[in-house]
Amino acid sequence: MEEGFKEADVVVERTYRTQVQTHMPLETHGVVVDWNSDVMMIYASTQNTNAVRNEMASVFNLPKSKVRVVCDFMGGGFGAKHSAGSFGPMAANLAKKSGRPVWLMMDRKEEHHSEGNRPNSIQYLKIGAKKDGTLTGIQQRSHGTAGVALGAGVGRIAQILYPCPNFATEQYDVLTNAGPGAAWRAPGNVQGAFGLEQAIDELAEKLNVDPLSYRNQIDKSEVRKVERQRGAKLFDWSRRQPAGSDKGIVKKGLGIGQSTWPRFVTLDSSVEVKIHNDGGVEIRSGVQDIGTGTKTILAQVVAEELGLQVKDITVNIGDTFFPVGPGSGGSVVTGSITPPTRNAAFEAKNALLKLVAKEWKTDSSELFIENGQVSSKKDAGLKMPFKEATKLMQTSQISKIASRSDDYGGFQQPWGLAYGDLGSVQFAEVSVNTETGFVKVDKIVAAHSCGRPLNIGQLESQINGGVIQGVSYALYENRVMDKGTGHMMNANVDQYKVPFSMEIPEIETIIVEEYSALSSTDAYGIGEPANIATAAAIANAVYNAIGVRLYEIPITPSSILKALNKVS
Amino acid sequence: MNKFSWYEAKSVEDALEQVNSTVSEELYQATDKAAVFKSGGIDVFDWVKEGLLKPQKIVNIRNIPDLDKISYDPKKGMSIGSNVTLAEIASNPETKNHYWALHQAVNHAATPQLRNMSTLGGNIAQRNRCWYFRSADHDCFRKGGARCFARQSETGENENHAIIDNGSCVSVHASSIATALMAFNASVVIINGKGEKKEVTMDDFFVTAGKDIAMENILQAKEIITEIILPAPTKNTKSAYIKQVARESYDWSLGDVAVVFEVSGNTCRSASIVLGAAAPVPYRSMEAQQAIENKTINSENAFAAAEAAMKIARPLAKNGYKVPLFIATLKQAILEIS
Repeated sequence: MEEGFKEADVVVERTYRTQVQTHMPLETHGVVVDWNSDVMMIYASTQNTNAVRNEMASVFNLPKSKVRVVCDFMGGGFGAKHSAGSFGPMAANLAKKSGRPVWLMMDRKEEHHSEGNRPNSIQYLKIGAKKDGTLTGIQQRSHGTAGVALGAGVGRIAQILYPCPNFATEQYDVLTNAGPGAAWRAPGNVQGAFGLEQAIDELAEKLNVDPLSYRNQIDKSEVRKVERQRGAKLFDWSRRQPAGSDKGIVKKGLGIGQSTWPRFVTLDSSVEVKIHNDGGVEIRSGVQDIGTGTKTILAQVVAEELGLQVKDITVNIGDTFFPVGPGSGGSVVTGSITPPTRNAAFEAKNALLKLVAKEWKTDSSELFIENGQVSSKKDAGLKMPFKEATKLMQTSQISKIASRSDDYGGFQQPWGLAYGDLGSVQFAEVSVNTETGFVKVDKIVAAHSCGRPLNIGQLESQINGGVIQGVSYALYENRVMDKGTGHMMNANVDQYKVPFSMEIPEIETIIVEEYSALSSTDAYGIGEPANIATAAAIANAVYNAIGVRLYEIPITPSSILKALNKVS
Repeated sequence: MNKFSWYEAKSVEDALEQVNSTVSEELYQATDKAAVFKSGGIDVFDWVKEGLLKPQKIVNIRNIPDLDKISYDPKKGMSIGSNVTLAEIASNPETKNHYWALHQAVNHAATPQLRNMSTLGGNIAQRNRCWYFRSADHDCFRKGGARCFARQSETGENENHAIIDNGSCVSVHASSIATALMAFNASVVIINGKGEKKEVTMDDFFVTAGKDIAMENILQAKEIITEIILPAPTKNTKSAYIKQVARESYDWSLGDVAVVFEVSGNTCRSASIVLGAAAPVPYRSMEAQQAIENKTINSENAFAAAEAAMKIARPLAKNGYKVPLFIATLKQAILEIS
């Protein structure tokens, strides 16, 4: 490490601070448990039906077959709803004792206090580079508190975003008597990106190069290179002026932030596709739809494979009586569950085509389904509506289950299951009022990649959500804790600030299709990547506007006016 | 939340007979025997939900006839019944034409949904904003407790708190509409249980923490606001209102100012300047008024008046930013008049 800094001509050494962000989904944590019969029935607000089922089976020493978890619709998870919590077993015990279904949902205060947060961070970063910009050393040391839980690190972003021969990190968890941390949309990495991307900006300035050009030099990712090119064009990066050069009271600033997220996959992801003898098609899996549209994309995949329309497909998911699905964490769902869905549909289709081939006295490999018709490649005269074809079935259904269990030889990494990275680049335009200290994010251009996009509308919607949560992190959210009494002072929706309609900037998205050819859909998630770079891009834009850098979020009128030496 | 009975008041007399306490009294020394008023219910139910107010009976005054009238007379001014909603004031053309600062204040209060529910009487009578005062875990002076948590120099989370008159209590008054009403020299009409009517100015309606820590206004148990009266403006009356908030969509004021001037040409002949979220009650800045009266309204004089307003500011550990915030905002509001 020391060698790295000895070689350096330029060094940036700073400490960055990020706040505690407490989970505030519209629907709080909770369950309804009905344990009147042999089976414990749990209606849960969860992003992981399988984990809740396993946890409850373990706590009550039941076989998994006697615990059923159902989640039809989710009112928001964002990482904090992977477990049965303490409320799950409590409700189950009460249901057993009372012989009645028990409803147990957190109230808003309990949600803020006890159901998870993104831990804070105090990050020391030292980055060295040669005159020509070559990175020589990155040293990181962070402290953070996840209260009574663990997980206050700052992720791997400083390690992998820009390759550097010398890297060292120490990440410390500080235990305190406060509410527990929980996963939150790219845990650790959002904090880490806030520090790293500001340090890289500062380094570029010291090297007297444009921060975007400098990233072109030190970032080896091909996908981010394309994202920077397309993003810079759409955003018009060329209008960026030197820091603090805007003359007005309200100063405009432009900034950039980058991020990476692995293409995680959960191999234990299974799905059943059924073709009924009345033409109905059904998808069944334990996988839940966290609210991003998993149900829709599963129907799309099966419709495409079966030559039908999306409306022809019934999706029954979020039920542990169906094949096990992945949890909605790590942005794994799309990459894990859509390939077996297509594979199961493919097998079900082949079984149906065999019946048609027998009827037509031909080989099933010559047959295909398109626009709801079974057709033959060899004889254009042969046509049979899909519904008619299903009447050839001797049983009432064809049922095929497929799993993602194959690794396809590319996902096993030393530290987990992932292939390559999902690169992201975001651009921020802000206005800073230098008299009142108010910051307004005017625009974000978000360039992202997630393999093959399955549903552009949903994809853009998730990117919008990630950006909005990033704006919220940069400017608004903050757990205010009274140091004297240890109470959270803003454990409500009124004083715990998240952006509403007027705080949301114009957001433009760019989708870069980067294929890996490692699954039958080649699709990946976007939930987490969309959230990582925003706060860093905003902080860099604020610096560009006022010429003073803020090392701490949330950025507030108070912190801006202090930075400008206007508070005595 | 505790269980309570509900009484639908049919008239002012009926309501005054049913009620036996005020929210302020109950917060100061809870009795659990209280019967209190509820109009829009916005503030009262916040206290009930937090468990700090446990009324036995809620007397609903929202549907009392004749308290929901709004009228304007060029000679007498404007009368707004205490049950008139903020939404009704916001869309009233006379308010917009004759009381611009009030129109602005109402349109920037809360959210459209809350403005549909909130009444003007309830808005000016709501209790202060302070997250310690509003927390069941903190027994502060205003609730009969032994300390002010917000002003503790090492631990107090006082970024939203008062910079003026922040002695025994550092909370700020929650009504940004009151800022504008006071600047227009509005008065409040109050009727008591004996049927006696009195009219007090907004300046006299509010009570400083130094005078009485238990309340922010003069309302006693058997008293009810029936209307708010704004004097008629002259053709030389001009006004402006600006509210600074962390979130434009919906937020409590971090600092708001209302300015009402009598002008001749571009000169201020008399000034009424009120600051909101600066002190425990809406604060009339005599210093700023004196600084701008009989002066040309220009950038230099506006800035001087704004600085004069902040001379007496004594910020706490975390709200020093409010001083430059008020200076910029007051300067801007004065200049909007020119």
